[in-house]
Amino acid sequence: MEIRRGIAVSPGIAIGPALVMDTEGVRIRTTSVPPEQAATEVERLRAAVSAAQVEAAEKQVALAEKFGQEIGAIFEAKGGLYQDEHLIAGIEGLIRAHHFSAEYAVSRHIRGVVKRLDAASHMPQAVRLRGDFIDFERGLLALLGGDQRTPLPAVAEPVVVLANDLTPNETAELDTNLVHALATESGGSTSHTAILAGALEIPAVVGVGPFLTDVSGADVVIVDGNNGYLILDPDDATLTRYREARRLERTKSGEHRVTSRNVPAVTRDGVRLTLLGNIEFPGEARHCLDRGAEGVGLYRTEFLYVHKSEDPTEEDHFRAYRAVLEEIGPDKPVVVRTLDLGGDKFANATGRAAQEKNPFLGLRSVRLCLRNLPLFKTQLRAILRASVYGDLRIMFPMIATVMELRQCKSILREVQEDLEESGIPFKPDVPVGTMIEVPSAALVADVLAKQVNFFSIGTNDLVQYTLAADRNNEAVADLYNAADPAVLRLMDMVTRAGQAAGIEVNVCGEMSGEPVFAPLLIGLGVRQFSATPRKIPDIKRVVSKLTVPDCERVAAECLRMETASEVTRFLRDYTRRILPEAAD
Amino acid sequence: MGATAVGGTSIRRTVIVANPPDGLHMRPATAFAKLARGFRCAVTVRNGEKAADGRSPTDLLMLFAPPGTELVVELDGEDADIALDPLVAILTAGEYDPA
Repeated sequence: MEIRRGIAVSPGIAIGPALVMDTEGVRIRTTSVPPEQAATEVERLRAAVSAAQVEAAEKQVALAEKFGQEIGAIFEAKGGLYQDEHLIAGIEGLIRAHHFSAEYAVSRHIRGVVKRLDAASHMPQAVRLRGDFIDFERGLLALLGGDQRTPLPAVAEPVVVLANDLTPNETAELDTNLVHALATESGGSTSHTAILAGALEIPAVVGVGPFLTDVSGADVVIVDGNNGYLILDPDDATLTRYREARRLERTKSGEHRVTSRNVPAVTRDGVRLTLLGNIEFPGEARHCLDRGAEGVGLYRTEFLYVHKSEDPTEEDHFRAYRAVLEEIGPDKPVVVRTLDLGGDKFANATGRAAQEKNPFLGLRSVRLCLRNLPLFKTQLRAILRASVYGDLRIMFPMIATVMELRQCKSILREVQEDLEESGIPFKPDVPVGTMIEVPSAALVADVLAKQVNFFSIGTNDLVQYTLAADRNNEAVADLYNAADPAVLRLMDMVTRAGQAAGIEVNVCGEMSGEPVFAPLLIGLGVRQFSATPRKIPDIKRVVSKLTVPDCERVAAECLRMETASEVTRFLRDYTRRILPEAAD
Repeated sequence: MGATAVGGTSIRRTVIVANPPDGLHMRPATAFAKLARGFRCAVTVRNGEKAADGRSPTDLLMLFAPPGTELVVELDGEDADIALDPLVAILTAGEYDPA
């Protein structure tokens, strides 16, 4: 048994078989195959090995022509592993003996080798070889996968997902019913993994440090999201203890859910707030209702696009939107955010999407939509068609300039005209909003406010872009702080602009799900919060202890402060005074 | 892997060679294994207590033999005599000219 310590980012306990995703996110099927299929798996392995040999030989010839025999020979050497009959036989043996899938057998065998290399890491050769074996594994996995690479949703049983870090597109395709917990080697409390775990309401521990070579898929692991432990190969006593703890937890959370539904989001002095839920998948609409959310404040739509062999059709979009509207009901808002991803995530863009050196400042999100009108219009048509099923609202992400917003609105009008001409029903007065998540948008919020029905401050990106710090990069993660005075000043500008124009300002970043920020946000004038459904009961509790004048004083005080740590300390103290358990 | 001679007489040859000047890395290991597979005799290479199947580059690489290490090459099989010189040549040269 091994206990590893990480950062607890989402509470709860999960016990289950591991699903290991390698550092580059190649999915490895952990499920074994039926015994009668083992021969097929061996054939697949052999075919992949032959293909890899050919590939290596071709590379060698190409390189030799280009750079001479010497360089070419390096590739011959790399290709040498594919000719290693003993190595291949070892993998084959795993398939025959355990009925592993070819992918899993490759990974498992190489992991063993890599572990031996890691143990000898004081030898320079071992360090060099590690890379060669990882290349070998990747090469084979890529060839084995081909077009039918098993996507994560196809895992057949509930799993604990272990990875170096999860990328947004990987997380978007997770089948939420089958993922019981997440644990990652890197990442901090604001990483995408952390957000995802929060959204799925599953336990998660991040920043554990290297552990992937110590675990193979299907091994039983425990994720303790309360204390930040990842337990590999647990012994029986530990398993029993955790099973009991999990049982108690389930009973408790069931009670919690029931009580929070009936608590209204009203401040102590009687001001009514609107609490909405952020969702990533249609199935999460139910979580919103369970937690007493009054609608969906952010419906991310990226899951429709990523890792699909083709772009989603208008019907795919339409069905996903209608499902959520029907679940939420006709009178509660559902804010659908248009596509918010980079171009590299698209199936049909593979090969032509230029490698961007700085993707977060590149062609992504609404910028990509404005360059790819068929893609954008397909989504807008579906959104408009779905609008007749409830209180749907459209929101454009990553708007940086007034011009972009105008373009989006004019395209929306075109789509409305098309629908009208075809006699397809839609609500003509669907509210249109923009996210404020780029500092330039915050700075011209007064202009933007005249052209939309609502704002939604996306604090995660706003913080990242304001402080120029990638929250997933541990080296600069300390700069990333929602309490930074620069961020607060921008938010203050946005809420003022919203009030002046008489439009609603919602906050949908993680900041809105943190009870300590509630007094500040209310003080800035925010009356609508959109957060991970799980957080809603906590926010409701804090809100019920606050008064608007007090919050306004808190906000004014914060805006006078000079550093993020001052603000954080002040807010924590304040929250602790009014509701001790919420400040932690 | 056991040293079993198939047919013919079993010939056993053991030599001690200094490891290639630049270590037993991917290239000599691959070349050595490739050549070893061409013979019928069993080929074992030892570095201290660690033993490697001479036909497996992976095994050879896992010996982590730095330059100058003494390696023991054991051949067992009817063609051990013929195999000995070219195999040892790869190790001592550190490079192998496939032509």
